[in-house]
Amino acid sequence: MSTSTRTAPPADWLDFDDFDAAIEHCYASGWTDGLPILLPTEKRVRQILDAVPRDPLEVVGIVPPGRGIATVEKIAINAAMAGCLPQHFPVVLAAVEAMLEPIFNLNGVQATTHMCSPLVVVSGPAVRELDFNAGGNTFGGGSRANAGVGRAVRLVMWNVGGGKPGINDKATFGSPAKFAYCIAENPDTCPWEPLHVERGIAATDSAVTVFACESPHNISDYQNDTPAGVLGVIADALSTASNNVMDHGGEVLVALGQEHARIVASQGLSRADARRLLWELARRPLGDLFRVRRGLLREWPDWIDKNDLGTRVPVVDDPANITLTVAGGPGPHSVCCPGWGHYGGFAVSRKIQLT
Amino acid sequence: MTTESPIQRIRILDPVGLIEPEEVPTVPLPLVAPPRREPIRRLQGATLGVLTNVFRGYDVPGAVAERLAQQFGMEVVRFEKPLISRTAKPEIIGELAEKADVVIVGLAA
Repeated sequence: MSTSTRTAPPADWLDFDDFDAAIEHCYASGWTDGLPILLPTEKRVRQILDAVPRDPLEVVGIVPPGRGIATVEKIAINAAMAGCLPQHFPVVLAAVEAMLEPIFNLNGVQATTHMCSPLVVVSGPAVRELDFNAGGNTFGGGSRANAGVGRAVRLVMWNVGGGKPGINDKATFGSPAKFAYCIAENPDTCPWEPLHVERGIAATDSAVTVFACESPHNISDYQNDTPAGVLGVIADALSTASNNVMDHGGEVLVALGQEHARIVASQGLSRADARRLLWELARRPLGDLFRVRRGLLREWPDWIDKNDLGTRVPVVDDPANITLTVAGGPGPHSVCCPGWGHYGGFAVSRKIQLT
Repeated sequence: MTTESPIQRIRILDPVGLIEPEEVPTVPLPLVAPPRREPIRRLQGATLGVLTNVFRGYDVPGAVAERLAQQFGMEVVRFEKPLISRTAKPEIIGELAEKADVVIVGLAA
């Protein structure tokens, strides 16, 4: 039961005699990002609200930049529109709560000219129990859980937070990740404990890890059969001189495909070992960086000698700035997702309160 | 052709977040409101406030302020936000309003 005492008024409603008129109203009112939605009927929203033991009028938080009040009900309405089933709602709530953590700086994530969008990574027993797709096309289509949760998060940002193009969302390009961006860590192929365990959440619990980042960039490697070999190829893609994080600092996410994960763990490397090795490999000589830019916008690590153009600058300041997960189907591929920079969008994990 | 079945009234709920003015941080008002200042009509000799984004190597507001200060003999008061992507604290906005006749604000990242 929630301990929050702050509540807000219930949502307004509108009545229609015609199904199509109701749909067109949603479009005309700017309630949808351009893709179709399910009508947020009282019945559908009620079914979703009944999935959690929380007061529908409980204020979960204020969503920037528009500063709309996110009650449990408002989040449920947007989850209904996204096509979520009731069992998906605890995941949506956890993701919204994670994004509203001050360190995430959702205000900046929403408003920036950068294309970042919050990626939700689901890990733990909920992946199987709620039928998330952690295998082939985990970033793509075909899973109601992945699509529903990912889109629900975006619709909350859109309708409650006012993060709309031309108004508060100033992204120069945006990306398809701004429609829905949710994957799951693969419990069948991940050689380590769930992602959230090293973030302080029990392995028997389920969690979301939310990280604002670019769309995934694929790295295919058919040749290497050692941890350093596989991670070296990934590191090269992560640490280009023009990479956003190389310039702006912050964090990155790497999702190892199952074949790469098997190789990386084959010599007994833990997840932390793999992150550290990746951090050591994902570097670029200072001279390369100055070749493409006059200077960098990130805060320099203290040990960097700016007068030595041969200094190998890591893409992130610390191994802890790399979120390393395992996902996807068969195939010698992994992906990297650069973050927004040192401004925010940092990976935040939150336990899913499953009933 | 089949006959369309009658549709019951459809009630949908509003997904938009309610905005309450109390949620928007503003400068605390003093007990006695300061006299309202008239907008200036000339830049010559006025005080120019600058709120920058601290975007290293890209200080456009600062560069503009320098040119204006030289051209119009303006005094410049500068404020920086600790991070470009976070809003300025109400206290900074208050100081700007108090000290500056006209303000240049840097936005976006």
